[in-house]
Amino acid sequence: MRAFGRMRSLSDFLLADTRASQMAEFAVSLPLLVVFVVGIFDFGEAFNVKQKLNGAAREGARFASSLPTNDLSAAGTPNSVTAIRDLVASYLTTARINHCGLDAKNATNAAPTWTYAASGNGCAGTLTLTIERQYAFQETVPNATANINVISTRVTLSYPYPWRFGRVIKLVAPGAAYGGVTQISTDAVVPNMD
Amino acid sequence: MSYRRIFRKQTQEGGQTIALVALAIVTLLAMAALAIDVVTLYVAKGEVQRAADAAALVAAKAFVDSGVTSDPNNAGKQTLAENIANGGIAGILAQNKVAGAAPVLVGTPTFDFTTYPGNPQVSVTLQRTGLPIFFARIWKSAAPTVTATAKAEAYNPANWQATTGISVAPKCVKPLLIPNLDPNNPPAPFIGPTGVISPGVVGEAITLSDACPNGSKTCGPPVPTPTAGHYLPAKTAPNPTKELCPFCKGSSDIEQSIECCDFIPYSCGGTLATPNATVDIVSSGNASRQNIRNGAQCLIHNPSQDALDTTNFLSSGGPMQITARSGPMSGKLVTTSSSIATLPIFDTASLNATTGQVTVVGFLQVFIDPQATALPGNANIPVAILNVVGCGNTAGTSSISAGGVSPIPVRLIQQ
Repeated sequence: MRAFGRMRSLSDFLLADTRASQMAEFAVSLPLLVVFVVGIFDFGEAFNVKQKLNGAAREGARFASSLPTNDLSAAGTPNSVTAIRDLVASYLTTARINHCGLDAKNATNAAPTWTYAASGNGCAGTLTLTIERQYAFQETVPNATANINVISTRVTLSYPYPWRFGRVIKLVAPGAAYGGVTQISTDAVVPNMD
Repeated sequence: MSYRRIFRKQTQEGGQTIALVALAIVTLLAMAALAIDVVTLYVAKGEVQRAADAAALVAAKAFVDSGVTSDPNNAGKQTLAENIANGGIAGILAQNKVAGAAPVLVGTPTFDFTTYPGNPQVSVTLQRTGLPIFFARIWKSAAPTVTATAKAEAYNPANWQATTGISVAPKCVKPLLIPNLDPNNPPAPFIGPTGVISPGVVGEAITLSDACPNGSKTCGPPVPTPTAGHYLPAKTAPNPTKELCPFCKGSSDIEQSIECCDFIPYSCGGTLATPNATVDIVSSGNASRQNIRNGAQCLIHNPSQDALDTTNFLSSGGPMQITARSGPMSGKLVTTSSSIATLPIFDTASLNATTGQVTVVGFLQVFIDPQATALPGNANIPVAILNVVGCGNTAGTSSISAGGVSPIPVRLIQQ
């Protein structure tokens, strides 16, 4: 009887206990929390990548602006254009971004625009580097007979950013389909100094 | 407290986790606002700085294009430099976007021609208002603004030679040594003894001719004394492996030195005791002239070489106008050209007729302009002078190396 009484008080205890329901509530809300935390990390990292890509494009364009344009008619890819590719690749390496094997890629397009597409090194997609050595925008100068085209260099960088968010959003909305990879793009224009 | 009371208390705590999670989500939203909105601001700040840097560089390039560094006290050239700079800044704003929109100029760019004559500076401030924000709307409804200032200069040490001028060591210099004598204004030199550039040199059209004998003879010894309008071919070294040569490159060292950019800095300045260039006294005159002509033709992309019009520059304070004759900009006015070359100016008194050694005292930035024809077979080179650089008399100490083919370095000095 005493033992039964103990059991009964145990059953009372279990039935009255709210810890299990707290666990259940936590289990329901945990996915939401995970989605939030991963989302913060993921978007923060995406902006971080964007910032670094901005830096790489800016440095590439500024370096290019100080290079001579003598060799742009050379066969294949001119050495001055390869130098810009190497600078962008080494900037990305220093910034701890996977440059997808950019430093060993050959350019495809013809002068005066060169395009590099790199997808090696385990990249989630294709990194594209476009170097336009004779990009021009117009300026209006008084007492000039027409608008003057400011010959510049434009460096465009497109980077495949793999989202981790797409994997955890299914915890909250199982039918959600977010793209696994987004191309983060940036460009910079600096006038040629030669 | 009895167990019963504790149990009763626990039964009252049902749903507390949901409340806690709701609270946590509000906190997390605030953290998301920090993580995403603040980083948006940082990215925008980086982008507006990039735009300001590019605007300051295009403005400082106007100092080179207007010739104001060679004639720093000329009010007309100062105005021209400001006009070109303002045009360039207005044009480049839309090129470097900040968070998807062009930044705007705050006030007007500040030009300073007087503090360091020949070394003018420009300061540009850009702003991007109405940046997009996402989570921070919880706290703040007004859209934030980012601002950035950049300062750039063009450096010509000509007016600093008598004092503390730091030398320049430009790259891609063409190996044609020009005596320091202005053929259009005899007997005035290009660069005076204190480094000041003679007035009226910028915009002059002159024809340079080879001072060495033609035919099979070499250029000395003794090296003939050049007069105004002459040039002496300099001894050249083979191009480095990573050459920057055009498609039409030739085979000889001197031809490649003209058409390629060898990226070897040209030393300059110093006293008569420290010569820093040597006349080519080995090649025969005939071969030398042929190589120089071929090199110059290749450099300027003859027969489709760019054309220069200095009419507005000389008469009405307009810019020197370069018309492209090849490439995607063919037929349009452009800011740069393959026909722009840098030639070393040497002190005539420094010429050692036996060894051919000379002391370089400055550089001419010229536009090779054979007026829509080919260069003549005697390797005469018609040029228009864009800038003159006195390189300072501190050879052997520090020097500033210009990028590209411009002997006047343009650089950011404050970001």
